[in-house]
Amino acid sequence: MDPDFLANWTTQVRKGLLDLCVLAALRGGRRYGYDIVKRLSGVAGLVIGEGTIYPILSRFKKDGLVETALAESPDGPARKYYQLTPRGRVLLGAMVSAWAEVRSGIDYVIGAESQP
Amino acid sequence: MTASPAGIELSAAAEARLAAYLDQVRAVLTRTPEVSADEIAADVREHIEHELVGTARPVGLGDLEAVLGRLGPPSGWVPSSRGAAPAAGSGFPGIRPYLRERWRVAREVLWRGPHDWRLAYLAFGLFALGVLAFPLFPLFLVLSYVLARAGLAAAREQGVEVGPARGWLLYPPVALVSTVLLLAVVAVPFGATAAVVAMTQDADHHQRWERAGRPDNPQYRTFYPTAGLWGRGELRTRFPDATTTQDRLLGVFPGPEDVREVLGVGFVGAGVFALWGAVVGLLAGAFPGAVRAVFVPYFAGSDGTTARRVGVLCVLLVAIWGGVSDRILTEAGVV
Repeated sequence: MDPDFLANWTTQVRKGLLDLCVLAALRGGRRYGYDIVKRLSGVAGLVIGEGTIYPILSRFKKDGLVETALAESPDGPARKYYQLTPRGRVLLGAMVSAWAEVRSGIDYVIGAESQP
Repeated sequence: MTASPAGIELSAAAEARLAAYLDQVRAVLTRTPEVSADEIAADVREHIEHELVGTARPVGLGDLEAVLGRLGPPSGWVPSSRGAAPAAGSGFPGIRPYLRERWRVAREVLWRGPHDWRLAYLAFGLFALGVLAFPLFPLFLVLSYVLARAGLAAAREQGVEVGPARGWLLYPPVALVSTVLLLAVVAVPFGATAAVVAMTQDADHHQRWERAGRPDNPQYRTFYPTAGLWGRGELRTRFPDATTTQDRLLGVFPGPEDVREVLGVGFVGAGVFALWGAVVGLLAGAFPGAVRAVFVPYFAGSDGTTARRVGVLCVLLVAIWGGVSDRILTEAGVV
């Protein structure tokens, strides 16, 4: 197996899934950026550089999938919270369904191919 | 040892490294119109602050490098599906391609870029257009002022610091309008004093003419003589016995006639300035937020305390002025 190919393929898969994971991290309610990063960094192999999350959040905001709000923090200056917009919530539902379908299909293919 | 704008206490080396890192974040992402480079830089700085909570102060370069290492190089953050424009520094391509590229970037920023930068470019563009088409300057100034205020509000809303580059685009119309408004506030007592003095002199002139027996001016010989036919000084010289209320009031002041007149104007001016200072000071002290909003970027850190003090001081001055005025009126026999 070509290690460069594997690294590139892993990066592409990870980047594609990171969009889904960022939206999914906001499904439970509003979170501030640092919290999202730390939550996703805890998933093995998902986040290589923690900074990659912030451009995704910024892009989602420009696309109207998330919105931000400043809220007072007891620990110091006001924090910027991210939360899903109705549009982002609908898209997340569609992405989760699509991901479940693809994963089940891939699992089936991998399972079938590994049968003797 | 220094403190960053966000309040992290950093060593000088760490401060320089953080600034360079955030510059790199902006440089990489500014060419990617689908994200807001400044907003991301603000998010990253907030992230770093969180990471450094509990670290010994001042934070050294080693601790900062560990955090930056986990964040990763900004060059790897560009969305893969929409690559950024080629980075500068790979050789100067010539003036025409360079200008074409700058124009393309400006267009991208204006139409597709982060709206806080779009507002900055539009605000400055309209301001510059107003300078070029000078007769229409007031119209362009109003438009650019509104856009610049919106740009500042957008940056504040996003928690983005308005750096020097955007400051140069946003602040000219805002500072100009605020300066004009501030000068108008300062000019009010000058104008009011001038108006009071002019009205008083006019009334005095007419009264002197009345008391002189409504004389006709031999130079003109009209059927309907009026005070306007006489100069003020001329009337006073020709009819020295015709004294007025103003003469009695000015008689309270020391010195020759001209000096007394100057002192009288100064006294009226002092009252008007004290009254205006009391009104403005008390209003500004009661509504410091409105003052900060109207006179951006002046009074940014004001909480109204100084204004309240000035207001109270001026109220005292008005009270003293009122007392002295009463005494002058009594001494002059006017009341």
